[in-house]
Amino acid sequence: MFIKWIKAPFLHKTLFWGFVSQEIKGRYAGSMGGLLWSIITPLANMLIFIFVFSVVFKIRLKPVETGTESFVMFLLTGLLPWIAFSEAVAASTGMFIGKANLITKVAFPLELVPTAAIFVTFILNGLGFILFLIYLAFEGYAHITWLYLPVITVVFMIFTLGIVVLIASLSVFVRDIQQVMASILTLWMYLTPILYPVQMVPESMQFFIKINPVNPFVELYHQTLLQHVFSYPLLGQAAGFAVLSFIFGVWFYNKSRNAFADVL
Amino acid sequence: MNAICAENLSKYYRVYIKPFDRLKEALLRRPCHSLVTSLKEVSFNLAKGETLGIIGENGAGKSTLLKILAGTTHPSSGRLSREGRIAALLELGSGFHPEFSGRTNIHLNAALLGLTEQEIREREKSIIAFSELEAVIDRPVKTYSSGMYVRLAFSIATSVDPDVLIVDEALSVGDQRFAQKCVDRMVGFRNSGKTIIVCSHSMFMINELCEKTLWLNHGEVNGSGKTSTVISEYLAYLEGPELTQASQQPTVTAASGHVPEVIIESVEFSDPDQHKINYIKMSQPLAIHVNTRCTTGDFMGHLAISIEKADGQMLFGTTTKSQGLPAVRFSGERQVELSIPSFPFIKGSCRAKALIADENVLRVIDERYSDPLLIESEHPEFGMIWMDHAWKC
Repeated sequence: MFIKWIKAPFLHKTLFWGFVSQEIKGRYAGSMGGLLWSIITPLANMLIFIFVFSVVFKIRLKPVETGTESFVMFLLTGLLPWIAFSEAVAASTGMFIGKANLITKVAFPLELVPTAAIFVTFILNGLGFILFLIYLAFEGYAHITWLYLPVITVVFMIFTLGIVVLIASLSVFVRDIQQVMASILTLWMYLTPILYPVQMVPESMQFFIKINPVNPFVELYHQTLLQHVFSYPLLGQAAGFAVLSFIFGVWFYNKSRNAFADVL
Repeated sequence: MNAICAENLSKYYRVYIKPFDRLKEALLRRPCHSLVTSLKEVSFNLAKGETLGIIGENGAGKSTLLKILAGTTHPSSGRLSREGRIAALLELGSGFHPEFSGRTNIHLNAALLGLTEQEIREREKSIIAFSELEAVIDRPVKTYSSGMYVRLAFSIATSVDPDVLIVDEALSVGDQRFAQKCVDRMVGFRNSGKTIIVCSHSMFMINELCEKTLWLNHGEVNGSGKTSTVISEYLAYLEGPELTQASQQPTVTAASGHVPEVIIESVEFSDPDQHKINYIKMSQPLAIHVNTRCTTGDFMGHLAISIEKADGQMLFGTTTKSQGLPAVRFSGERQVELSIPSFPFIKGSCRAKALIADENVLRVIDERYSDPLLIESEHPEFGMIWMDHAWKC
């Protein structure tokens, strides 16, 4: 039942790419900029952060802790993956509800909907991330450890898929999640060491960092991109969270799948 | 070989008055819902190549049954086994994306129905041709009229070439001419040995298309079997319980307790080939057969036949006496035929009433109603009967 999720996009290629193109074109349907917006939006965000933190606040970090002096570099390293994650999770609340018409009227492999959505979110955000990598490379940060990036991202995608499937299924029954999700994601972001280095968190609060499943991913990006070290224990931790999230998400989905058509 | 085998399918829905009740139930483990039964112990077998019609009033569970057969929802209890590729047209165009062109939607929708990319490419041309949308196929479907929308959807759904086709009321597609094309395609499916399941309120269509019919009433099977039989039972039910009884029991109007001299065994509608029919189109020939059995020796009497609406209003009546015929000699079993070369009523339903009276037409010996006859008409005129007419403007 878990393999099915990995196999589904390959088994139903046409439908998968159909959902992917539907997701991409659907996002920018009717707009003239089209795909350009997926580059302009993150670019604008980066410029805002650069302006606020480097030009106005002039925050400087200790390179020993973070591998960089520039707060903006540090911030974007963690923020860009987080944005991909939170975008996917935010969209998940309406994922099955929005497809109600299809779910009640057509029998099709529903697994493709979340997989396609996450695929699209990561591809589009990946464009912004690649721009950022190019900028980093120009600043002299390029390093051989960067080759680990695809591995980290794939594990991160599996983690996200689990959460998305869980929340999408749960939202079918508890619609309130749609309202609550935005606040939860904001809170979650501030509890994750994105806006601050993990070393700045006081000892008494480290517990909350340890149980935050997004933390190892953000730390992996920080370390690989800026400090140029790669920690296998951290990857193990991240993979552990990914497997846990995936199993739990798919388990709940399988348990509730048959009831979707009745509730929607 | 069975294409569909359903055993005791039941479907219950839990209905919560407030969303909060669902949470309360989950937390307190105490039921806070009311149970709605939409399907109860429905069983049937459908062999490959058979066509099944599903009829019933609104809310009888037809759509629920189709959804279960199509696999979009699961039965609460019972077993269902299905064979072969199943395509369901529960709602036309439910997978369309309004911003995409018709051509893109063909690919998306066909993939949704289970076609591979190669199959879609092969069929794209014929889908577009059938839908007659060549001129606008590359425009976004949001610019289509609703008629164009369903035409495209129907063309895609039926091009899937399924082993089992499930259709829910979808055939009233577009204008008369396109609707005819759709019906023709369905008939083509049937003739090429596909299994078809149709749910419709059009008895005419069910009668044309289906060999077997399942009549659902409040989620239960109220009748199943040969289409013509089930439809006439259903129509009789719709027309009210009083008439049903009247047609089922021979009315003994002779002196109470006495067996009438002649009993009318049955009153039936037939076509010119002597086949019993339950529906007719306007201006078709019709014969009414009255089968009688004499309980004594010979009996001389007159016969009357009238055609009545469901509410008992007589539309037409004739007797052997009023036509100046000699009294009919009844002896043993005897069939009398009244033939009507051209049936004049446009729409609705009617039933025939046969009556036997004595030689002087003073005493009613026996009377009996037929099963209802459904009139199906494509005529653009209104009202009950058809008249020859011409406009001069």
